[in-house]
Amino acid sequence: MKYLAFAVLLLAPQAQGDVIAIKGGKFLTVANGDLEDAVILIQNGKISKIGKDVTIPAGAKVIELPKGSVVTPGFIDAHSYLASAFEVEESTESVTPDVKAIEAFSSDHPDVRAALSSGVTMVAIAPGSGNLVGGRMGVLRLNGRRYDQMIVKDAAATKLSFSNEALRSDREPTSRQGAMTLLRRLLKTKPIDGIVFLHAAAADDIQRAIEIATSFKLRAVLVHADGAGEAIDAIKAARLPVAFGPIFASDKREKLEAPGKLAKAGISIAFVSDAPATSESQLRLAAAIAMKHGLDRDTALRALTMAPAEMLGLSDRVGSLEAGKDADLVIYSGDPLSLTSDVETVIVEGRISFQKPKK
Amino acid sequence: MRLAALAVAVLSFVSLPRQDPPSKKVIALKGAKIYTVSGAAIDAGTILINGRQITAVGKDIAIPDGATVIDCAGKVVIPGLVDVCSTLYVGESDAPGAPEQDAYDAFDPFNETWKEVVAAGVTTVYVNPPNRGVANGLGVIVRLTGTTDPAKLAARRAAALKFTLGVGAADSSAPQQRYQDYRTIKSMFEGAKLYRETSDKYQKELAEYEVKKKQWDEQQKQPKIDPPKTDPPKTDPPKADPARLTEEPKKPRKPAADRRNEALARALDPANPLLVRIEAHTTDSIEYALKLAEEFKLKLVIEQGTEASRMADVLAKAKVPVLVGPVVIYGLKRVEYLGHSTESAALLAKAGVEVAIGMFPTTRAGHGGPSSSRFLLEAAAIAASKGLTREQALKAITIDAAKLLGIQASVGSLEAGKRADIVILNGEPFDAATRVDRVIVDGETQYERK
Repeated sequence: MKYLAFAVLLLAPQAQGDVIAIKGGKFLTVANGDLEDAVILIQNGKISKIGKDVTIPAGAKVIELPKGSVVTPGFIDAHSYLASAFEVEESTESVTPDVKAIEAFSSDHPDVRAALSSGVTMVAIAPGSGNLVGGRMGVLRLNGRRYDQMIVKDAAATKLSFSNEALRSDREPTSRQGAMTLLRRLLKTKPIDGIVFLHAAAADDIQRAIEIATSFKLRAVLVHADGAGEAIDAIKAARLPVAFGPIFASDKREKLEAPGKLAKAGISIAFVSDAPATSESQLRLAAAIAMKHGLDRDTALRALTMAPAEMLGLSDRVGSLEAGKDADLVIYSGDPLSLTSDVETVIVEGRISFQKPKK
Repeated sequence: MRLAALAVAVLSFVSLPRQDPPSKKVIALKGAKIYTVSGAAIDAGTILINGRQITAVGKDIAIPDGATVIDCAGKVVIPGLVDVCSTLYVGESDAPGAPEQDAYDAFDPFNETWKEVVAAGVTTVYVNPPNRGVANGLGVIVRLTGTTDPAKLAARRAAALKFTLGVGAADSSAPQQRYQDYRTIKSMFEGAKLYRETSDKYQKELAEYEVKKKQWDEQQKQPKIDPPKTDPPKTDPPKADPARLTEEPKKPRKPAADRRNEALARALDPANPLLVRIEAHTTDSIEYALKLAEEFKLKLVIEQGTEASRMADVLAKAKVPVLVGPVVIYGLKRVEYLGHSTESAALLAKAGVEVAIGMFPTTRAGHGGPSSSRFLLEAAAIAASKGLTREQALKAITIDAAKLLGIQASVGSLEAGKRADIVILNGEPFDAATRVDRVIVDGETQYERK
């Protein structure tokens, strides 16, 4: 019965122009602080109005939130292999800049639904780290549709790897110094336009990545950055944002304390799942663990919303609850940063895409 | 009058506050919100610790002179957390196990990972033997007191006998595998049953022998009385004493000792059965485990029980508890974890199944590791988001975990008489940004936040 109601809700036509109004609870806007007893109006897939003195037009579908509910922008995962993990790179060559990671994605994979129901509405699918130049990261919106209708950007960023995974005995590069030389040669002859994600985990890998980013003036984002705690000064000097994670229970204390230290140094951070290493549903866990080890609350929330939007060059469309932005938002039973709260409703482009089954 | 004075003197002597021996420190945690877990929460309460033990918990507790007072105003205090499955001090191994293998023998007491775990508020963990295969062996309960003496580290050796039912070596868990594992465990217990019967029979025969041997020795001591030289009386010859032994009793042969069957037979002891923990994921694996419990009258708990909530009513009826976990799994899901759900603990509890939550940091569930227990509070919080009450969730990693390990008499709650395992937090246990301020194990501070 509960599933029937759920299905009806999902299938109910929400015609263009229909207005949804969300009322009550607390809105964590990310851009303009927290709002209580306010209204969000959604029309044509966008947030048309948000505020305390917004009047609800007649005929609007009103979602009246139970007390204690909290609304956030949909969470964004800036680095994932969601539903594409078996084909993360084209491994015949080590430099494959034109490969598009999203072409490995399967929209009907059960992990996609699991990610959406955990409140993640946008995911950047990355090429693996086994190639020096892995190719293009693409951004998908988890709107429950076919893969081609999910694409927000098919080439949002280029991925470079400073990982040992990129070194092989049967082709170039075979060593770290060889990788650096090859990268310099490539970037000199063919500069990379746009955003570049640099896979670098250990502190010395971070140092090498920063060297390349600085000398070629890349618009770079550091990915993983486990050893960031030992490289804060270098990251700060290079003004690079950090897509941090994934966080595991087996990690050392120093790694768990790194997000807090990065935030204190004024470095922008996002949490990434690196799915399937962890899953999109564990992004909140990562934020909660980082908070338990010293990260402040505002940065933790930003690290799941606005910061990844900025890193992917999408902050004009998503990442906060503001008029004019895409209506990707999530209703929680309570504080989203407390793990005892659960996702009640997920709205993607103005459509209710997930509703927690009633017990 | 003099007598009365004497009486007063004696009485006052008797009623003098008992002087603690100098080795026993008295600590008072004052002004905290206390989640005793065994009873209602106490606001602005006090906990008294004497040496290793909690001596008082309540609202109006007088703090004895000379006690070290730790001001806990605005703090929240919970019992030390209990992880029903960790790999601390032993890690993991791909080698096949055996019933007599003992996790204790794999201990590296100098491993310092416990520091990461205790800092998260975990004070007691159960550790399985670190091997794979169907029969894994004997587990150990460890208290995180920081000692490097393995004998002191192991609070209880042979705390349970562990099996794994229906997990293939490769990624190919098949119904056939589960049936084979069931048969393997069944024949092991059949062998142990015979061993036990043989051993019981020997014990019985030995007892009989000892009685007879004593009698024989007595008989031998009696002097032989020569018959009188006179003619025997014309009566019937004296009847032989039927109780008198006519030949020396033979000592029964002791059956060969066998460590494997010894370990298995302990689970078959009707008076004090050793706990049997069977790791089972799919519903059919769990059914086989229940069948074994019924056939051999095992004291069974299911480990992990990935699909257990689908047969919650069956487990409730069989009164078999489930050690739920891992709540957080990493990596591509191996086949046994395909039915994984964070709702499991809530659904089982609702059906009346006894549950506890553990970390089960197996590499089969991704990046597990000996320090995994440090996310235990988070695992319980996630289970709470899916329907456990916060109270149930906290119990699932304290008193209920202690119960299912059989150590609830000494740990798991904040009560007078229990071990002083206490976690001081700066906020509600499951709230965002709540941090661990101090962790006390056996009355000693093992972690303090700087």
